[in-house]
Amino acid sequence: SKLSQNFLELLDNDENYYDITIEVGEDPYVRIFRAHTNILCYRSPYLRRILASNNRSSNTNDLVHIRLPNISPEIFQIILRYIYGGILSLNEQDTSDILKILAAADELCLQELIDYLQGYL
Amino acid sequence: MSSRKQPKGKIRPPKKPNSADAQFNDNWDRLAQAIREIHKKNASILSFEELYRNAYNMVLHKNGDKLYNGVREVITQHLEEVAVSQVVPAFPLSGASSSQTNPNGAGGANFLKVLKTVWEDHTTCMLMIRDILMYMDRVYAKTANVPLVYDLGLDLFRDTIVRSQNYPIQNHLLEVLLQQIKLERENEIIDRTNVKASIDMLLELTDASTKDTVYATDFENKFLETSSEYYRVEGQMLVGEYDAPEYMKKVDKRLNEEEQRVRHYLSQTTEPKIRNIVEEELISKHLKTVIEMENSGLIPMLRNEKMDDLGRMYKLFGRVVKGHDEMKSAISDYIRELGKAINETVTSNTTAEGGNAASGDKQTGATVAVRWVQEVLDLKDKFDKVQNLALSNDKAFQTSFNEAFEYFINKNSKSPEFISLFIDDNLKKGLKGKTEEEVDSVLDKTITLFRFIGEKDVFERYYKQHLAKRLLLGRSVSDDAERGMIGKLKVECGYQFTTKLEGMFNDMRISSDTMTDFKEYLDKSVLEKPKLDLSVTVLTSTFWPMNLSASPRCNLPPELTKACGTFQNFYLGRHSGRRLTWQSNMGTADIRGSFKARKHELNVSTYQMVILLMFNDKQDGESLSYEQIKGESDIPEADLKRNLQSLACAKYKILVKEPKGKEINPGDQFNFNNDFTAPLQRIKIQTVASKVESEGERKETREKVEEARKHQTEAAIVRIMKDRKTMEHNLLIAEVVKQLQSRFMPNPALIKKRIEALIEREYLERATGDRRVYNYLA
Repeated sequence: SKLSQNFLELLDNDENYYDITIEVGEDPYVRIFRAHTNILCYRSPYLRRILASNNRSSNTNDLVHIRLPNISPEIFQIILRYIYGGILSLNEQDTSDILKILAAADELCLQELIDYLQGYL
Repeated sequence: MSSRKQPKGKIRPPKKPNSADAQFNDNWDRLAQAIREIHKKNASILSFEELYRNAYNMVLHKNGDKLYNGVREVITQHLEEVAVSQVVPAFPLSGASSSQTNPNGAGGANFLKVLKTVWEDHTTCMLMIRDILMYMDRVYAKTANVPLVYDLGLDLFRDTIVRSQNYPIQNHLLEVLLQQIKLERENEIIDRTNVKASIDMLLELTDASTKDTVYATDFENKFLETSSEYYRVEGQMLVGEYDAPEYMKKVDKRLNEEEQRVRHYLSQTTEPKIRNIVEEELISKHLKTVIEMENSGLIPMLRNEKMDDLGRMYKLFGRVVKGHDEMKSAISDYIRELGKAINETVTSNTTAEGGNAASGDKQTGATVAVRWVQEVLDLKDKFDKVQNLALSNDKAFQTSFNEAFEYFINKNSKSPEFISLFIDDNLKKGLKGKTEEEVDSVLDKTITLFRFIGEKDVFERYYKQHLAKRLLLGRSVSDDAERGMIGKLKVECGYQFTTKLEGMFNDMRISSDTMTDFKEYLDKSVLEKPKLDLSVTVLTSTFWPMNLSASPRCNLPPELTKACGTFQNFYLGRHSGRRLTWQSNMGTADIRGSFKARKHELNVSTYQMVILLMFNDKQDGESLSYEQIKGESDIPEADLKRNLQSLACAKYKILVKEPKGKEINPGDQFNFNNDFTAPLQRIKIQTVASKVESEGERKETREKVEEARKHQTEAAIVRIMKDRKTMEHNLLIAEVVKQLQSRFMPNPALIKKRIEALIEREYLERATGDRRVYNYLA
């Protein structure tokens, strides 16, 4: 539907409202993603906790910055798109990538995604 | 996991033993440090993602248990420190919280405050720790079947602080809480928030063995125990010091307070328990005492119509199992007692007049009846009011009241007669000056009393007699009221009960038609017209309460006999196959009497007319003796006495009696009273019509009733057997009782006799095999 498409557009194109940057990957494969805390909050309990504890510590209007060094940028890209759009196409991915997604989903406590991936495998 | 992308290189086999361990230690050190920082409230310097990742890795590398146990240790350690450094120093002074040096519990309050802070800190820290260890919770705790880390924190708090082995924290906590509650019960103001915090804490902690909250296992029982002790003492004190209304107010207040307390800072689960305790200690244990309190208990409340207090008592006592029962039985006893008193005044009155109702002041006899009914009605009104205002129309109470009324009303064997007399009285004179609604309400109330009567057939008999007299003597004030009454009786007892009464009304109507016809007949006929106007009421003998066989004889004056003959011819000419019997004891006559002063028209009974006409032939001053009158007139003795009495001893003295006196005795002489004066032209000589029956008459009525009952019982038996063909003895008795109880309560012995009589007459037979079973013989 339009909804998920719009959300993906928001993820890809937004220059104004993003309020979090996520640094993903280990040197030298680092990539920074821009995202929206309120969306992340409601999609992943893990991210909600992180953001909550970040809020607790720094009560400023600054951009929130978090790091996820043990996830590769490509994988996180897929996950982020899942978080926003609720969709992911697994046909293009090979199995090892899917396993990596699964591991990341596990870390991020995306239960829905975990179940889906396990079913798919 | 066979995959093509292995070059990135996880060199798995060698890494496991050494570097994993090392990494674990490294990671763990950092995590432990972080937890300590959290405890020091330095959480803001920590990086959440990093710590999460640490924990994540540890769990991922199968070090969940180590991590878990490590966390447990760090937290325990911290809590031990807290216990020593914060909780113990805050112990209320001298340990004994009940010490008099510390009356307002300030030390206790402080202790609670410290505990509250400690608890709040702990829960905040645990929330943060839980966040870090979320992955452990999700993956390790579930598979290893250990509590989630937050619950672990609660358990640790329970074991190291609340139930500390090393310090008497638990004792202090409980004592302080109980002391605070006690203070509040004694109207001190306490800091409810602190108490509430502690209670909430206890509520959040679970007991490992019972899976119940620590609140329930540690605190609640103690709380209930102390409360019950407290209220036991208070109950005894209050009962001793206050009267019943005051006592109940206090109890009410206590109940409210406890409810408030529970709502404000205890657990809802405690509410019924503490309520039970207060109810038990303050209500159940003192039920009887309060009910029986002299000058203020239940009975005085009823006597003084203290509706508020009664209502409160009803509400309070309703809370405990036996409360309402006790109240009910107390009130019922009271009603019975009052009823007995009413019965006694009546019987003492009637016996004082002597069983000689025929010659006694009959008016009083009726008054006694009226007064009895009135008093019973007043009593009923009073308890209806109580029922309405104080007992919220509780059906159970209503029933027990009714039972009590039934009991004492049926205790008075004359009650059916009295009630009928009361109605009679009201329909005859009492209704004057009362509006229709008032009449209706009086009759309605009477009907409620009627319901209580067990022997409805006796009532019917009396009512018939009284109604007959009212109709024949034209005493009834209002036809509508009469019909209304019959209508009400019909509603109560059904068609059967009132057919005869309605038949009586019919006779009256038909008679008046007959009389019109008779007048026409006389006008047209060539016969010699009677010298007097005869008005005849033809009664159907089965409807009216009169004894045909013992039809009273009486020598009527010749003019009258002749007139009667004319009517008889007329009537029998129209209706063949009927038999007319003259009931001279029921008639009235208008006669003209010349006295010295003026002439008067006298309205008298037939008997009185007969008596007076005898004096027509006599000279002035010539007297007739009682025996002479009796012999000439042939009037039955009781009637004669009564009529002479009303002529010679009542308000209008047409006759003068020698010797003077209220009673008529054989040998008395009677003279025509020429000097009689009265302001009115037309005078009605009252024959005392309705009166309480004399003993003899009562016995007679009884016998008649018994006789009627025999027939009714037999009829019921036959009806039932015809239907069932064969039936067991006990079942038959039960069925008969069921059918008859709307009229009277049949005695099983009576039923048995009737059954035997029916067997003799071969309506029934005993079954050959089983002697307890009867067969119906068609």
